[in-house]
Amino acid sequence: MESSKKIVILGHFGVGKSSIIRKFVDNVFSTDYKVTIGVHILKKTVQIPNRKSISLIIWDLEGTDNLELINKTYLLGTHSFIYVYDVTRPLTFNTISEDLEILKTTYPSSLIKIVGNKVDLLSNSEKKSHQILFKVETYLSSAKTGENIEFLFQDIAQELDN
Amino acid sequence: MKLQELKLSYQTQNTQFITISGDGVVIESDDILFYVSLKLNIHHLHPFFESILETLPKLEDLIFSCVHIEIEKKDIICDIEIKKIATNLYLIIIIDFSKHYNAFKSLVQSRNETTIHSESLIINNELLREKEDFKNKFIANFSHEVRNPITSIISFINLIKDTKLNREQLEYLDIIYSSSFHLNSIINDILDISKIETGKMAIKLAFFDFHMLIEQIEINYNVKCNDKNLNFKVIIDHNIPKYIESDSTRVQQLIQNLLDNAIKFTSQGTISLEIKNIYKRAQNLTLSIIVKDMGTGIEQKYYNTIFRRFNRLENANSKQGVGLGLSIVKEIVELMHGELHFESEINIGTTVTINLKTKSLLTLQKQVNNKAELKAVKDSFKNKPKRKHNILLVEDNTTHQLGIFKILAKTKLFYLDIVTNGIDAIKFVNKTNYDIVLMDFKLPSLNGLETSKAIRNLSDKHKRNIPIIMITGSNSRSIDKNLSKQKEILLFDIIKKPFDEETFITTIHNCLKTKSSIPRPN
Repeated sequence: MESSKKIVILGHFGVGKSSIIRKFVDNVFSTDYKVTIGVHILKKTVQIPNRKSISLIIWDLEGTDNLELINKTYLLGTHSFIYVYDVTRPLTFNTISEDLEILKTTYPSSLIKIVGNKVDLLSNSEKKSHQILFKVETYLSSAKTGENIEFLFQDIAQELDN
Repeated sequence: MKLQELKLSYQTQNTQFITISGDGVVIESDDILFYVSLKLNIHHLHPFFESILETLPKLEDLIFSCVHIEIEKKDIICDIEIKKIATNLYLIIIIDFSKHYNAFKSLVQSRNETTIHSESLIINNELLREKEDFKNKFIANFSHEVRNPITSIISFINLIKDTKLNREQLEYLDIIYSSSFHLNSIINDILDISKIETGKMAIKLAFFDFHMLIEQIEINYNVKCNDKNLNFKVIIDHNIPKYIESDSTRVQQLIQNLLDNAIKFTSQGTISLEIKNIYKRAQNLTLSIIVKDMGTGIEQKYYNTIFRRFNRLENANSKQGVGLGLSIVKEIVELMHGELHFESEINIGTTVTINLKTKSLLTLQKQVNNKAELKAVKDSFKNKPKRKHNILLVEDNTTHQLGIFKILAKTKLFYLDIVTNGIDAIKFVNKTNYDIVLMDFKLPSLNGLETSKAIRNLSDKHKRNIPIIMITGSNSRSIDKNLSKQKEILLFDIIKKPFDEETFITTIHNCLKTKSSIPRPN
C-alpha cells in the first residue's frame, strides 16, 4: 500500500472548501453553491518530484464558524489541516487567529495551511493587504481559476513526506 | 411474526455489518447495502476506510456520523460505527440515513444561502456608507474652500458697479454678478445637503417675529417677480401670532426655495404665497405655507421624482439650478416633522403646501388683528432711518474695510468709524455714541467675541448695551456653534461671509429698528 496522508479541510460555510477539492481532484468548478453536511472523503495521488507518489485522502468537512462544534472523530489521525476563508467575507476570517491557536494546541504535530479563497474577486492591491493579514503563510487561491490550488496540495504533500 | 423478529427486520433494512481483521482484510459481510467480497482489504472499498485503518489499533469504539460514501456507483449518507470485538477483530456497522440527511441538507442549504446573502448585504451597505461619508466630507470641504473667493468676487462686483463704467461694461458686470450669485447659491445648497446627509443640520427652535420674516420675503420677491414681469401676492391669515416658535432660518429657506422654484418655472401670471393657520389649540398651532404658481406644471408620472436630488425635468424651460432646492425642502420638512403636499396640472400651475407644527408665545403674543395694524407693520419695516446713524467697524483687513465702507457709503445713511483691533474698539465705544458695532470675529490679540464681552462689561449702561453684529467667515463648526451660543447674550446678529449687499443692509436696518427692545445683560 502506497503512503497515504489524511488532510482535513475546514472553515466557515460557503468559503469554497468543496470547490477547492473538486478543482484539485476532478479539475471542475461550478459557481452554484451546494452545501456540504457531515463529511465527504476524496482521494488523489500526487507525484512528488524525484520521489515516490503519495495518496492524499482529503476530508471535506461541513462548514462551521465554531471549531469546537466539529465532530472530533473526523479529526483523528489528521496529518494536515487546511483552513479556508473567503477573502470577500470578513466574517470568515475574523476569528482565524483564535481558530489557529486551537488547532495548534490540540494537534501540535499536524501541518496547518491557511487559504484565502475567491481571490479572483480581488484587485491586486487588495490581494497584497490579505497577504499581510496573518502571521502564518497564506495561500491566496481561486477554485474558479485554479490559482494556487495544485501548488497548495503539492506543498502539503512535500512537507508531509519530509 | 414475533416482535423480536419484526424489530430485527426494521434494523437490518438499512444496516450493514462487516467484520475485518486488524490489517483491514474483510472476514464477513451481510451485504445489506452493498456487496463486499471476502478477503478484500477494506481500504479498496472507499478512501474513508483507508484513512481509518491507521487509527484502528489505538482505539476501542468509534462513531462517524453523516459520512458520504460512494460504493458500486451508489451514493449513501451514513453513520459508521467501528467496534473492537476481539483481539485483531473489528466490526464495522454502516447505517444508511440518506433519506434523513438529504432532508436536513436542503434545510442547511437554505439557511446558509440566507446567511451569506445577509452578510453580503451588510458588506455592501458598509461600502456604500464609506463611499457616502467620503463624498460628504469631500463636498463639505470643497464647498467651504470655494465660498471665500466667491465672497470676494461678489463684494467687489458691487464696488466696481459704483465706478465709472460704460453701458457695455455694466452689462458684462451684471452677467458676472448673476453667475457668481448663482454659483454661491448652488454651493450653499450643496453645503446644506451635506449637513443633512451627515446629520449635522439641527433644527434650532426659538421664538421669532414671523410677520417680519414674511415682510422681508415679500419685499425681496416683489423685486424678483418684477424682473420676470410676474405678479407676486402674499396672503397671510390675520390670526397668525406675531411671534412663533420654530427655526426661522429654515422656515425662510423653505419658503424661498419654493418661491425660487415657482419663479423658475413660471413665465407669466401670478405667484402667490399664502400662510394659513390650520390648527390652533392653546399654544400649539399648525401653519400651512402654500406656494402657488401659474407655470408649466408637472405630469403626474414625475411627482415622485421632483423632490429627488439633482433632478431636473427634461422639459424644464429653464436650465438654471442643479435641482437641489426642492430636495432640500423635503429634507428640512422631514427634519421639522412637518408635511409636504404637491399638486400640479399641466399648463395650469403647481401648488406646494408645507404644514409645520409650531407654538405661539402667549406672553409676547401681539397679534395683528386688523388691516390697519398690518399696514403699520409693513410701513415701519419699509421706512428708512430718518437720521444718519453712527457705526463702528472693527476690522483689520483693509479689503473688507473698503468693501463695507462702500456698501454703507452708497446708502448715505451712516457715519462710519473704522478701528483695526479690539482694544481700540473698546476705547472708541467708550468715547463715542454708536448705534451699532460691526465686529469682525477674527481680530489680532482680542478676538471679536472677547471684545464684545469687554464692551458688555463697560460701566456706562448705554454703551454696554450697544448692539453688536458679528461678521464671520469661519469654516469651523466649533466656532459657529460657539457664536450661535453667544448670540443670545452678546450679539444682535451674525452676518456670515459671503454676504450680499441686500442682506447686509437689511440686517443693519433690522438692528436699528429693534435695538431699543433687545434685552441686554446688566
